[in-house]
Amino acid sequence: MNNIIEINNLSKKFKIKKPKKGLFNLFSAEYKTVNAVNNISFNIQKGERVAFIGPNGAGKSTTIKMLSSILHPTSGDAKIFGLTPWENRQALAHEIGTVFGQRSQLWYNLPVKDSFYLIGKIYNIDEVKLKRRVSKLVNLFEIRDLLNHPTKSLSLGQRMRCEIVASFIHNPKVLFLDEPTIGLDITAKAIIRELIKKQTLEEETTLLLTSHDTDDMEKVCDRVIIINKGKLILDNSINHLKEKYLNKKYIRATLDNGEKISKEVNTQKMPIQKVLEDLLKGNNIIDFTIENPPMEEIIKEIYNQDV
Amino acid sequence: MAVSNLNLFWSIQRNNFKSAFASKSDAFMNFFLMLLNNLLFVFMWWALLENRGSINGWTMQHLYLMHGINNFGFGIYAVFFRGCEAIPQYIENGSLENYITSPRNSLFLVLTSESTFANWGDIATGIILFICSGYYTDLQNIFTFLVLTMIVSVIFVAFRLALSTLSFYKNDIDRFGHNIFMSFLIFSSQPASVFGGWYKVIYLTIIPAGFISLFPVEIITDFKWVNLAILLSFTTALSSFAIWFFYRGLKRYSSGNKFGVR
Repeated sequence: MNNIIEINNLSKKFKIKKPKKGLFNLFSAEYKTVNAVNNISFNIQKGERVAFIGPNGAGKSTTIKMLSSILHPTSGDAKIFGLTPWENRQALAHEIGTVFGQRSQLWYNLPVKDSFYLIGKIYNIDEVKLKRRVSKLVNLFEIRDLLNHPTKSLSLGQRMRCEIVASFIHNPKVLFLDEPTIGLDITAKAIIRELIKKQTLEEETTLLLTSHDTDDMEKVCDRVIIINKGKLILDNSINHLKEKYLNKKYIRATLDNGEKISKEVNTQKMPIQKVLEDLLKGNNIIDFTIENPPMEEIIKEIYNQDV
Repeated sequence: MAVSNLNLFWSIQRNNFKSAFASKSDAFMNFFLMLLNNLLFVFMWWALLENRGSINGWTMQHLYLMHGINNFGFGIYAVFFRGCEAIPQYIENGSLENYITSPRNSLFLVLTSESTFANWGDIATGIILFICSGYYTDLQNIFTFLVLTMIVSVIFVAFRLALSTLSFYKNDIDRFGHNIFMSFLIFSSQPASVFGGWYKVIYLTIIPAGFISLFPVEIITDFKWVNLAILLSFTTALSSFAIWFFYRGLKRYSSGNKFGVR
């Protein structure tokens, strides 16, 4: 087995201060302990694209932050290329790329191009190699027109494309993407997913992607790990998850008379095309959407099946 | 490695300049206003001492030297290493993580992450006031002045870093750190000779402004090895403490999650 990432019983607890009433409690404080990540273990092999899925507060970002050396765990162990991330930060930084959807690694006032070259300097990349690398990524992610724009003038979708290019500049062997499609519209999400998949396939990059959007894992990854309240509740292939839990779709339609129709479809029992054909018969539909079940529902179902 | 870090330092500074020059007119106006503001402050002391002659033995020449060294040192701090002021903000919004995941020294990247172009006005003030002091005619004095400004800038950076680092240990302590640093600046802009008794104890301990005003001036006007040794020992101790305190705090970092960009 060619495991690149090995995680054993990893846990992270946070102490959170409880507010106390009254003026005389200025110097005393009570704390409660929150188990953000609770004894999780899994391995990831070279070139695997793994979706790390869970609802808000499940512990996805905390795990990624421990793996990318930002946070120290309370207990347990993790190894990337045989090295402990929080003890070998600088050595591993060359092998790991990170994108955090909520924040930018680009400089706010500077043109995107300048940020890319500064990141190249930080990774100590030879100037000729850096130019070649940036040029390749810029073409692949189709951002040539954005290079001379300051980051502050980019839309969220444009910025995210540039963020991902920035994370690929030093050619990382492992990429951690934390909510890369957060806040994007459907078109921008689709483009970002396609580009991430293309680039990781081409360079055999090992990917760990966190999201609470089930489409992200379906379109980009081949394995899924689901955690909830800090605990690992499923580790399997995407196909397994699709067959078992993503066979339910919600169709919502709005008719021309303003009436709204909502249908739950089990795609294993009834093809979605058949449902749509039935719906179109005798109805003038002005708008409709097909949605996957929300993450919370999938987790509930996994729990129910376990019980 | 040192060459590579120096190379990176200049690349970061070039980008900081580019950011500041996004609006050239603003940058230059702020530069001249800073210069004017500093010179007006010194002019008030000049007006006072024109009649009195001296304050407890300190003449206008001492004040020119003191403000010259302080302004130059503060200018270097604010132009090249102002990132230490932003640590509480980086902790709160999580942008500190960009520096932690980098292959470079995270403290180096944090310190150089912010710059204010207007503070070139402080560096210019420092040069003008050193010329006014009359000590510029001797090469040895020029060299001593430059060395002292470097030491003073290290003290500014280390003291501010230690104060900013408190945010790793306690929430919402940013304002407290800012106020202490402001007191430090106010104390350091008064002639050292006005402080006596308990004020002098505070001046050399809790708010150690004496090390950036009293000692550097005495080293130029009346050189004694012991004063230089005290100044260097204090600078080394303060910097070592600030670096240790920062890395100790970094281990306690528990991540912020505000939306934002650099």
